[in-house]
Amino acid sequence: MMLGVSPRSRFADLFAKHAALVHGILLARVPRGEVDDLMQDVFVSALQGFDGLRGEFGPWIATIARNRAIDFYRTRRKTAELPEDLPHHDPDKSEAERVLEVIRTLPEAYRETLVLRLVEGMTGPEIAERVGLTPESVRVNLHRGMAMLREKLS
Amino acid sequence: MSDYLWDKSGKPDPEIEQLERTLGKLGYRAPQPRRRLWIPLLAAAALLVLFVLYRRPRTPTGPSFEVARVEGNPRIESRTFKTTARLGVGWALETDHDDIARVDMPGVGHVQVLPQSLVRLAETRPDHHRLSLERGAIHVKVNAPPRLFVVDTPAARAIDLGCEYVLTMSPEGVGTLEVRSGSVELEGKGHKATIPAGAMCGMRKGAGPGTPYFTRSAERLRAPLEKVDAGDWAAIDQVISATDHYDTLTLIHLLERAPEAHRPKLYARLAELSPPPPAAKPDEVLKGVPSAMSAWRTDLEAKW
Repeated sequence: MMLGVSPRSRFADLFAKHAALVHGILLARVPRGEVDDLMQDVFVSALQGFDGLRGEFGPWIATIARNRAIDFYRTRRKTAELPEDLPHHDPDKSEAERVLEVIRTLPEAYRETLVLRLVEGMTGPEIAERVGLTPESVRVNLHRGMAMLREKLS
Repeated sequence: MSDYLWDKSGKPDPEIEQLERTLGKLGYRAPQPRRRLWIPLLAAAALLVLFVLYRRPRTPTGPSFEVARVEGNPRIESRTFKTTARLGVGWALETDHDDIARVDMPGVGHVQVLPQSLVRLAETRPDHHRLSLERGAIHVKVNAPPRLFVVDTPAARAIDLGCEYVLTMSPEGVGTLEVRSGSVELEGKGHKATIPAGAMCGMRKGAGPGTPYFTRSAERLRAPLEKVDAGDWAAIDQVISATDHYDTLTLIHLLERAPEAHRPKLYARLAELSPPPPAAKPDEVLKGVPSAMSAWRTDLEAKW
């Protein structure tokens, strides 16, 4: 006999498994300092809609994350933002943010895939499975995106 | 075909590895699980409780008596002990529901401190030892010379005259003394009572010792005596009519305390049960002359 698992507990497990995915999707789109707050928003939105979920969790939560990033730019207040390349005590981190900025200039399909691969450390097959794309699409996005990144960094 | 960018297989691409190292610092970091603070806190609380309950009692620097644990976990100055500990002057020995402790007083005797009691060693010198029973009950066995050992209570002082007795005291200051052997003197609030073996006596905070009576007369005398001891002298007739030849103890004490109006009938009943000796002249007894009262009391004590 299987012990019952509460929906909320199941949601928490799924969200934890896909947290890097949500983080990568957001990081590919919004300032790094906003990512944690937006992750919380995605969590709440997903929790509210979890009972009605009939499909795969990964693509569904990925869509919520992308939509939340869009909402962020629609609704954020007009405030002066600090440039993200301010001097930092960790030179490696400044370099990371510089490269991230370059990735963000790439087309959306490439930037998201590259962030999930290079920042979040997922493999191509993992990305395909979680975002709901075919492996071929992800492979193409990775190679084309990487080629564009190399070009921009050089 | 291996493809490092695709699935991290095959020969690593140094440029991609460098990007992974650089960008990996920005990746998601799962929040560190909250340390379950309640576990160490609970453990610390448990240790604290154990420490409070089982920390070794201090060793008094001055005079002290040895206390032995008889049952449960009696405490000295809030500290439990396994077998024995020392009770210093001013220190408290406390027992709960299931605890019994014994205070050994070399050359004096011992005191068993019964459950739910609080006893303090008030004073100890070679010629004088004093405990204080603040609440609860003690069973005392003394083999020292008379008046060497006394117990203070909120209601009266029990002075040992060479005996065994049980002394109880409620938190409200109401107590009893029951003497098993020898005799005990109770004094307080200007009253004095001598309680021989087989007798008992009530006491009350603010009123001192009551009137003693033999245990075998308790059923007849306790209720009316409580009224009289509370100041209701109208109940004296009930007491007198309830006395028999054992109760000269009660009558002589009443005669010593009674208002003048009640003395003649007390005298008459006492004389009926045990005629006064020649030194106890009736008129002097009725006036409460100490020498006359003492002569009659001495004569009666020999019969108790």
